[in-house]
Amino acid sequence: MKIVILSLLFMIAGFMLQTFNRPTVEDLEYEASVAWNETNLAVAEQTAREALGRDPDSVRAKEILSKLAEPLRRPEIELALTLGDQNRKELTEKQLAEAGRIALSRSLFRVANELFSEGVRRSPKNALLQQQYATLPGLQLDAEEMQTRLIQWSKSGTPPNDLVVLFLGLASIDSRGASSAEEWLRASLAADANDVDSRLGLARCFLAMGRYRECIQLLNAHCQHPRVAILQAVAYATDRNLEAALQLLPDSEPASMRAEFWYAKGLIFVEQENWDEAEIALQKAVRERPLNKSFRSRYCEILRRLKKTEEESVQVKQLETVIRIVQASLNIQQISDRSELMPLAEMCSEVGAEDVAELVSAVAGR
Amino acid sequence: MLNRRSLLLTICFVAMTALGYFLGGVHERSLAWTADRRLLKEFDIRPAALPKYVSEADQQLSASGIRFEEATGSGITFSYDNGPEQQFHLAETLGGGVGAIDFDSDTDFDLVFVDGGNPAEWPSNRTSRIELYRSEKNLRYSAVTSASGIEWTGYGHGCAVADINNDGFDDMLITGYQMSALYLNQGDGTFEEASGLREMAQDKWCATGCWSDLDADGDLDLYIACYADTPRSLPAPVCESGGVRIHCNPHSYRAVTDLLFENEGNGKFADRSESSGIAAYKEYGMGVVAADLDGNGTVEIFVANDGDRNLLFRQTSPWKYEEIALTSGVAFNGQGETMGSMGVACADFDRNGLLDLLTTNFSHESNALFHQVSNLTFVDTTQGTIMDRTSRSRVGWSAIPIDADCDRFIDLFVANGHVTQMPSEDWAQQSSLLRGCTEGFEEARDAGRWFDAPWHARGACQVDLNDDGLDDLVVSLIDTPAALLLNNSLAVGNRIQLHLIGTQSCRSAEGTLIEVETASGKTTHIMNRNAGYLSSNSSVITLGLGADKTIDRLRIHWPGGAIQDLGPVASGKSYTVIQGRQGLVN
Repeated sequence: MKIVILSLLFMIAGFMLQTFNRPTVEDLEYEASVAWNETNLAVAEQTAREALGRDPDSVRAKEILSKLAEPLRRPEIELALTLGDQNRKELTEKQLAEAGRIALSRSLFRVANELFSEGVRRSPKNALLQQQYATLPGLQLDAEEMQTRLIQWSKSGTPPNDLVVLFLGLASIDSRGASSAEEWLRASLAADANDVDSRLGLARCFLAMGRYRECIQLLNAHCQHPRVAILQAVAYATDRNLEAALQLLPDSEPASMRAEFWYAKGLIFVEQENWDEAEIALQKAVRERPLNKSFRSRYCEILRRLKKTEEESVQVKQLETVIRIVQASLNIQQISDRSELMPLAEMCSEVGAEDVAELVSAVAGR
Repeated sequence: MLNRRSLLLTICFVAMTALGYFLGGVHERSLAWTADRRLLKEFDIRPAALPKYVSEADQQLSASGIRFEEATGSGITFSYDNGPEQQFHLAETLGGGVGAIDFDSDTDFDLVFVDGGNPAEWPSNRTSRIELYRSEKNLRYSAVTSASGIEWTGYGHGCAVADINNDGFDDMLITGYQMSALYLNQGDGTFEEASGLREMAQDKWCATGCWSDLDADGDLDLYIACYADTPRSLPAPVCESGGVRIHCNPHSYRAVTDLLFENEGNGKFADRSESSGIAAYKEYGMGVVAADLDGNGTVEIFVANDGDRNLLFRQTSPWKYEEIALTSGVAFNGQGETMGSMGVACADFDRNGLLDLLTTNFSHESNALFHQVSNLTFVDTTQGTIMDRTSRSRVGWSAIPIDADCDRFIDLFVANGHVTQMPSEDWAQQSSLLRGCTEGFEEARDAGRWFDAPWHARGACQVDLNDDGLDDLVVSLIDTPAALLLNNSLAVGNRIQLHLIGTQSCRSAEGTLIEVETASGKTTHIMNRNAGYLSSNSSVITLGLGADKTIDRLRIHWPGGAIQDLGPVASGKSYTVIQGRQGLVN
């Protein structure tokens, strides 16, 4: 018994020896700084972590870890430094907004989305959170989701003019607009390969730039995901690989991305020279997304082929109006007078985008 | 025994101390900050690098058999001077054209190049900016500008060559920055400027001129696509991209209306721009083509506009036009987008008997091929084709439909080069060559060393330079001597060459449609000398026949509606067809 107790005492002594022998937080901070200066990143990280573990308020350790995030390609470090040990549910709205902003700036779009979503759920009247939440799908070239969020926001508040204009410009993204998004969407996927929305965004970007096969390859990683499958079908159909497109498309209309679903169907029917079915499919795509130039342009093409002159003339005018909306949105740098939005609302109404028209009118008339 | 026990105990205590020390270390490490790792787990974040995409262009494909070799020692030293560096005047981006002109009527085509200079200094202190080269023997050319009497001192862009007064000699219109002029061939190797046209064109900045008999009265009328006016803000704006100063896009300048002149046949022109209705449209015109697209006997005019919708004018009554680009499907591309349209080509690419239209466009946009599926109904089916995949990284200018290997399928040459030094894009770019095939086009690989190198190419024309019965190409380059590309294609099919002379219609037969019926089927061609961008093709048409040795029927639709049937016609020869006269002159 004595021996056991003595053994334990020796073990405790060893433990204490380690504890008393350990470097101070200041020593660790110094060591981390030296390692950082000598670009010994692994040592800098380890010692900074230890320093911060011992003193959660160590400014120097935080600073070094924050600096390490970039060369180590660990964007989550900076976010974690902001969140600290707090659980997401414990964060205040302000902290959620700040953490989301940092996640966004570090290309962690999915994390940012969850943080903003949490914030908006808790405080629908917080304009900052709403703005960040509504902007995010815009960065991922997802006009459908951005529209949903803006309309949701307009029920509890008033989205700012600039954001609505941004959305109208995004509604019909073209190759020039898409090319600028490639860089940040690539960064987002490099930071978080599980971010399906950024993957879809980059795929849309490739589609708009005519890089269909790159788009297909990008989506291969998540092709079992229903939304990914639909966009991949669009890419296959655009690249004239009908067999692959048909395999991916669901049999019935999906819950989301219905416009893309009908567009892909339309492209397939066009390729099969089944003009009547193509007309029906593309008409549905246009109804789902009346502000999309590509869908409208393809629909006009079918009407032209079918010699439906009157309908084509109506659709051509609407296509012209959509182009005017998009051009006007891209040219408006800053709106000082809300009345500038009213013509855009009227034009949206003209082309059958009633919910968007309502949104723009509400913002213009607030 | 005791010592042994003591030793064991000592070892045990030392081990326990060491264990304690180790556990203390573990404990220390467990205190290290790991909040980020929790975050990774909580959000299931998995950083990963995107796999590198291997494009189709990087894969090896077999050669197409079409080959062009650059002629050396021709004596042509002309290079287009677009102005001093770091000036960023928009006119510097357009470049210049080249015309195939038989100005001495010796049946050998001579060449005329239009030069630029300094748009900011214009019009002071200038010498002639036209270079006329006469074809000597064996692909040698001599500069004859000074003897020709041409004294053009403007900042030039385009040349539109045609026999506008039906005297059998090629005349030429020069278009440029705030000045355009018409030079009439005197038949003795000299030119004289026609009175009136320079004044009628005012000080407009015009790009491409197009001669066509628009009123079917037997002489050629003139449409000029005009580009832009003074900048919206003075001095000329300079833009920036990625911290680099670049030329601004045309929208920083005011758009202008195009010009339409009726040739009154007495050496005079009447300005029909306003009364015809075309002046109602202000865009940034670059390329233009005039052709009877729907085969109804009247000529339509298609204008490619830079960054704006394209225009298609249909004649409703003599000298009255309605604009129908939107309803015809050629205003925008298939995605409903305006394009930076520069050059135009017109040919029956899909062999359905109807003429199609093609525009060359800016980078990030595909060139657009508008197939005519029925009368004046066009669809852009470029998306997903080889043209889509190969043209988006380049800025396209002249587009020339050419059956280089004479296999009955029209191939396509496009001169490329960026407008300005963009930080992320190549300034000089490789030109493109697509080979026509049953499925549409395929990339013409291994087309010759000239195609492997990047150039600042702009205007280009097709002409048989060495009388071997095959169309060659001449390309005007910025700051580099022009390229004469001799068609050296392998496995060339049978062919004939035609020179058309109108008698009731205009003598130069501009716009004539030719239907060729052989055992393999029917193909349709157009005599379209001025189509394209800033340049003029030869008036001799090469018709590829593939394996067929005889044309069963050659049907010629002369401008004005007269139809003439000829045949059978043996391949391997060059023929002259005179309107209304039976038989061909060999």
